[in-house]
Amino acid sequence: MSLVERLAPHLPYVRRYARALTGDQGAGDAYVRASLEALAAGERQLPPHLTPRVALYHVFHTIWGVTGARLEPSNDHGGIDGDDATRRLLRIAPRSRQAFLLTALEGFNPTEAGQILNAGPGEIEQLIAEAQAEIDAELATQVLIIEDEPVIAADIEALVRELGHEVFDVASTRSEAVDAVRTKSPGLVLADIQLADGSSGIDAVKDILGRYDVPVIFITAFPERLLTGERPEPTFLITKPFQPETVKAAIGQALFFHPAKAKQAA
Amino acid sequence: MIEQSPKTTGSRRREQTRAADEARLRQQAIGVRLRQLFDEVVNEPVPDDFLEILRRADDSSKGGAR
Repeated sequence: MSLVERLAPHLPYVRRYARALTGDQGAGDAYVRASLEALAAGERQLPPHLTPRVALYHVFHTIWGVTGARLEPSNDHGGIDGDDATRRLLRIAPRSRQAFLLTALEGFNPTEAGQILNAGPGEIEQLIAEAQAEIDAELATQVLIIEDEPVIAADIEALVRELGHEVFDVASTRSEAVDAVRTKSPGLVLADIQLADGSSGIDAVKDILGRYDVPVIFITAFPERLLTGERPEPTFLITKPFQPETVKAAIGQALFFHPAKAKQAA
Repeated sequence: MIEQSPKTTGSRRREQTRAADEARLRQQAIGVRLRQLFDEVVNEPVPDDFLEILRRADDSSKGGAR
């Protein structure tokens, strides 16, 4: 089979990976182009025991790994004109960023990621754990919990702390929630909908979003109230009873994609 | 999902695997949104010269029977 036949179907995806990895499509394309040139010149080969897609990413890795990864400014990526998610990606160290993107973005399994990066399964797991630690540190914030059931509030508090966040306050009514944010903004709000005094978590969140631009996750046994009513943006919805992992995943997603700037809503 | 090599068992290893599994779950939630973010990259045409490079390589290797 020709190189075109083997590799053409995978080029859009390796471009996506290169863009995410470098933070810039032009730079990403330059590394993809250099990889293809190296293959064409015979300086690199597609390892025959790998599938074409894995082999292509592997060759890209050998090119980027010896040049791009080392040329990166080690500290800040303020020069990159990207969105906040892109900037957050670039703060992850190169090799753990690769392991993270290969598995979470590109959908490779850990074995394939290991073949691409020349790493054993143990190292891939370690890199993924390191990426997570860096993401957690980057996203660490103050969380306001609006929940009237003490047991559930305690569960949520524990889970929030496990992720490395601080608990900003725990409010059990709309007015407590509004009081809590009187002088400063939390970085994230986790809100129940049906509160102790009959007040509504939706109203509490609307009050908060009227003042601050903050991501919100509703955790509720009554999701229909959110689905039928006007849903304040930006919000996520988790149904009780919840799996801790689901809440953790939603927290990471909400924070990772929330704009870091423009803290103060008009 | 994860291939365990027979000589690297043990509790420390299992602990590491569990932590990696949980991390992977959280990372997948971010990955889903990243795919949406980069959707346009996948859907736009690949730069012309990428395919040119590969065609040139195919042509030149034809003589040498690949």
